Amino acid sequence: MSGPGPASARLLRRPLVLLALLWLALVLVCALHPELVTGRDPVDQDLPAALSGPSAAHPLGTDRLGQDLLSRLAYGAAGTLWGVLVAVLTATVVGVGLGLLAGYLGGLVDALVGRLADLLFALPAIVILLVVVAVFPGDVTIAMLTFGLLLSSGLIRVVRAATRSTREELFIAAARLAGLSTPQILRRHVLPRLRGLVIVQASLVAAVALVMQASLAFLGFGPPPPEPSWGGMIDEARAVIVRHPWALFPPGLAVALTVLSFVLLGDAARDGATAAWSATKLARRRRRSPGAGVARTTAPAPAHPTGSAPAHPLGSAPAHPALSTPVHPVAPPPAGTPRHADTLLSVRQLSVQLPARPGRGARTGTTVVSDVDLDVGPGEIVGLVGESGCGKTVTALSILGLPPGDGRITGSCHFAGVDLVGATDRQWRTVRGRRIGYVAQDPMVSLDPTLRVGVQLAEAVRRHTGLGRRPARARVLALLRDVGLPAPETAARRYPHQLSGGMAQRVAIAFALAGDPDLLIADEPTTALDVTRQAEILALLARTSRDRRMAVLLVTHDLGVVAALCDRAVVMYAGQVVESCPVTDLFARPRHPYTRGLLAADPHRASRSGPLPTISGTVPAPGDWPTGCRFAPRCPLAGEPCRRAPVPLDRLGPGHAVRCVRPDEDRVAA
Amino acid sequence: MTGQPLLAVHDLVVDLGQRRTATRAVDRVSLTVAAGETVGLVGESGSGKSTIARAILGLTPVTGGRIAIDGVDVTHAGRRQRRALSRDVQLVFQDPFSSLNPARRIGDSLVEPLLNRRGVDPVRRRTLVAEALGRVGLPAEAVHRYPGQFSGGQRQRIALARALVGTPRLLVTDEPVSALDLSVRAQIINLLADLQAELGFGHLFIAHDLAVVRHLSHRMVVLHQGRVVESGDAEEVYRRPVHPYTRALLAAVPVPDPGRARAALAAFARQPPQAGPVPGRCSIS
Amino acid sequence: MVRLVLRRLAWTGPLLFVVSVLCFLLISLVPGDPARTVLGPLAPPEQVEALHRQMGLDRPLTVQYLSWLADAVHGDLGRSVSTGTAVAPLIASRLAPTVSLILLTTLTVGVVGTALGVLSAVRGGPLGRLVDVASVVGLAVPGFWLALVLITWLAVRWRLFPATGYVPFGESPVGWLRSLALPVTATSLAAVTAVAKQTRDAMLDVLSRDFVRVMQANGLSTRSIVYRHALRTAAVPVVALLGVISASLLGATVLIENIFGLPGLGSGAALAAAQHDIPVLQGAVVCYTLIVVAIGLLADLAQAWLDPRVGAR
Repeated sequence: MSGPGPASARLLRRPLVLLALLWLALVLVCALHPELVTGRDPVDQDLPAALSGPSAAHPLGTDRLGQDLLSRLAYGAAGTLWGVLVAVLTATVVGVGLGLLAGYLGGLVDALVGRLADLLFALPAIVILLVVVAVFPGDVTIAMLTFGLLLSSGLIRVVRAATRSTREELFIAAARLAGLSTPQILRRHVLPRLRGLVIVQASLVAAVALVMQASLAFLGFGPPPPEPSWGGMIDEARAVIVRHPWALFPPGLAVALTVLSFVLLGDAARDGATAAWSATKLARRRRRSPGAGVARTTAPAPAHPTGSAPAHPLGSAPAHPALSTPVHPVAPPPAGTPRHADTLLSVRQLSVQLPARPGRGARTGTTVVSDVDLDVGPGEIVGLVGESGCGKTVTALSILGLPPGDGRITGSCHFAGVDLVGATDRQWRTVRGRRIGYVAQDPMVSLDPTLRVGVQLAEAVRRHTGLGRRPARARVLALLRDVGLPAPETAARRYPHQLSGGMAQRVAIAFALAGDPDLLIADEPTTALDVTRQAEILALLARTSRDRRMAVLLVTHDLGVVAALCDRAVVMYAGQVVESCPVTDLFARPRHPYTRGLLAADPHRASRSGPLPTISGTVPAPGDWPTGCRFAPRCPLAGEPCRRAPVPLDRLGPGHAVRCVRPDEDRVAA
Repeated sequence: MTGQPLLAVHDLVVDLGQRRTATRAVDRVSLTVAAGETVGLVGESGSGKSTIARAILGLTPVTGGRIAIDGVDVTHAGRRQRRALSRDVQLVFQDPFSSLNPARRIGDSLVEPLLNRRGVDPVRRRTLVAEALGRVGLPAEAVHRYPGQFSGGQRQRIALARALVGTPRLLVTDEPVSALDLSVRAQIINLLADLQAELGFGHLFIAHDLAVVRHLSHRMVVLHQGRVVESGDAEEVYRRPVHPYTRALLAAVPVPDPGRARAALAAFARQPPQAGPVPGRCSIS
Repeated sequence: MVRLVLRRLAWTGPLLFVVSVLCFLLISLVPGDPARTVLGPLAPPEQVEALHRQMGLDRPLTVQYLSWLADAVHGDLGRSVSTGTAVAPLIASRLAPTVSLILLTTLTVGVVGTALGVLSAVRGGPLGRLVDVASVVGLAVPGFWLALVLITWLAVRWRLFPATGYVPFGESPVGWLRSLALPVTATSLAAVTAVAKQTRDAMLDVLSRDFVRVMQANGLSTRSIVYRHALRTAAVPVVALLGVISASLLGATVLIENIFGLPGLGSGAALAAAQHDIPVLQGAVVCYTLIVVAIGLLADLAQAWLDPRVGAR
């Protein structure tokens, strides 16, 4: 990572930022030494040339009295900048000071400061300023001091909110436990967090103050007439608006360009202040979300790989790439495991490549899932097992045609006679929700927070069954009863935030069951829940699968969950399937060293005395995968043949496949 | 070990929330941790286990009871006493992502426990930080990097290094491994055991996973709705739970063994344990 | 929800009190004798003295304020110093143009800004970049300057709209609309770009949330996801911004009414400030504050309606 130095250098290479900087430098020169910019006196009257357009003598033309507009603009800069400076300083000092105090101390101070901010906000700024300029005629400093004070209400609120949220961060608690004093914590942790925010707010205050100052001068409350000011010049232009509209433009553009420069520089300075660490911040993963890592790091998608479809976070929305531009399999006809006639879902050679992100590290696309083969039979429960970043969540979402970050899917994915890779909108409409349902990990965020549970379920029911309002409502209550909610009527009237985690997950399952699907894809459905709630949800899934003869593809990192629920297991490591077998084999006869290592490291199976057996090292990130066996760097059995070339997925026996050169060696990783 | 435990919590009561809407998060909980000992505190969310940790560290005001560290009452310790205490007691959080300030280099975070300590000059600080990093298996050059450049497991190592850089005598860890992947989890569990063997600190280990707690702890305390329902030798509680809640908790954890896991789930589906409050309080200690 | 309203209303009284005290104090600092201002520089001193007493200006400041307050509570805001008419009806008569301006602008900003924001978020591409750029440019173009440019070309050159003046709605709805077209355009440009940007950012944020993916995966229609679910959530911060913008429009009305010759509250306040007409200015301030409070209340209610979690807090 580059430090702040190179970061600011990079910012300067942005042309707009450079232009903004140059313009402000010019204004500053005008303010300090206007005689360097123009030789003319701003109050010299060249009456014969009055109301002329740009000419050699008067580069920007003249006003009614023949005064040179360029000269007046240059001499007016000093007052303008001074006023802005006063307002920005006042607003920043008051806003940051009070906002910090209120946010960090809370309690009574917070309440008082909050009321003060409300009061400052409710005061009609311009009327107050009119009064102030009436009391102190022509005094820009006091007027802008007052305006800065009024504007500080916004800063107080923003800084207070940011301080409060920062104060709740664990690292603040950690710093306090490390024995740091409050001033130390504010200096080391809170203020740096606010820097970017304050810079942006200050630049906005500068922009607003400049416009307000021009407004006051325009209304005649600026410096007295012969003296030049930008707002006053607009007022002078107003008087000759019919005969000579040109005069509007030099002062108007001067104001606009200066405001633009303030805002652009504010943004750039904020980027510079956080550049050192924010690039890595994107990699931050959500708590308890193994598998979401890949999706997270690539969440905002600025460009579509082919350029044919617009970038889009919805992934699908009207122009989802997988819908609007069907991806045709480039891989040869599926090799590997033959497809069974009686399978419900048959995935072959499924690969997902995230688009290249020029300027953000990856120049070529990153493959996050490669050549996954996977079968799910009717009514079968299959576990897709792996650690963070192994590609299990991406695989599950890609089956539904919704890869994260505009990923590109290749391979094939046959479901009930249709290849879902390259399916059309019309085909998807008959599959998603009706044939395949989906349950996400965190129930608290997988329902629309603004609508009642019953309303959301009814929408899904009506969409999939075409039922009318009344029968749909009965259906919703039946669904809620099916997923084990004791009082369906009450539950239907609740908003998602009024439900407990376990109840919300039941509702999410009901949502996925609304179209009576043949396959349920459940992505870590119990990871966010307590163990007793987890057991309830697992029991519910087992019962539902049995009663409805519904197959389940269960994505999980928990081997216990696999043991309790699944018929077969597919183990993924670094984007590949490394082992696939019936669940009894997985625990009794694991063949891949990774599977063995995982099982050995589980404290349930380990003996109590002595250290736990571990797998050394960490899971490699997509893009850092070795060419040979991807587990080789961590494998105790790895030899030269493992590292040389990619290892194929071999069938060992009925329903058991392993991606390992030496699956017969029984030496377990120690 | 002397007669006086390192940490003694006696009849601790903590109410959370505003006065009118306060709920009792911790209800007359007593426990002790001796030097060199690991005590596992087990419970589900809402059992009050994290609140106990926060109360011990002074992050949450205590409603009643007594907390003593080395025989010194710290129940209502003021700011000054707390800062002095930070030398002896440290905490490791569950979430390795938000417990480190993303905008500060690792070195800046690690040095914090040493900043207000007399007689530790900047050179000595650097040495101690490098030592702490080495102890958790990270290279010394990590001080120049930002948290965003490390994986979850590595960050938890960094958090451990920060907690141990000032050689505290009591370490409280709040679900330190539950956010980690299985293969990394085992590494951190082993690291915790090794560090305790090397440094001899007392360890209050908070977790929801009974198997992990059994593996790492000498004694185990099971919490339910703010109360201690069972406590005793870790292996003993795990093998022969007495209280119905402990049994339910053990039954609910899916074991990586298809036969047992399926039987347990089937039994669970037939007769889920009541979610209501536990009737009396069984203390077997 | 009810508690939210009550809390807001309970805060209005003290707010009005503090605002009126502040204004009273500020205005009392204005140099010169209002009686002299009324009678002009040539009036004999005895006459000025008499009026001074008659206006109660010889009493202590607190007494002056309290008597004003006592009257204000009963709806009597005093009499204008310059014209001698009662302030309350004067302000009432000037309310219509200002409220029309604010309502029309807020409506324009809400509709156009939200539509642009949603479209740019859903379509992306050039429209998205345009909204990003426009939000900065919109901030940079002063409304009063834009008003002058609009007058020059649309009113004076091409005679599409009247340059100045106000037609009451009751007289001619079309004339009313025409008389407000340019003022509304001038005041709403910056606000439209700001709201479009806010809507775009909020939509992009909501569309990347988990529940949107869950709905897609479970086969809900894209139209429903975007317009029924995502927009509702995204509208919460947008409504908050609209509230702030409507409140800040009050400041803009002073300039805009001045330029377009609208007989509204803003131009009245400016006139009163120039004439040292304290009772009128004081009345205007109270009226302004009431409008700000009302806008805040409406914005809060709208947010609570959109997102049940807001009302529950």
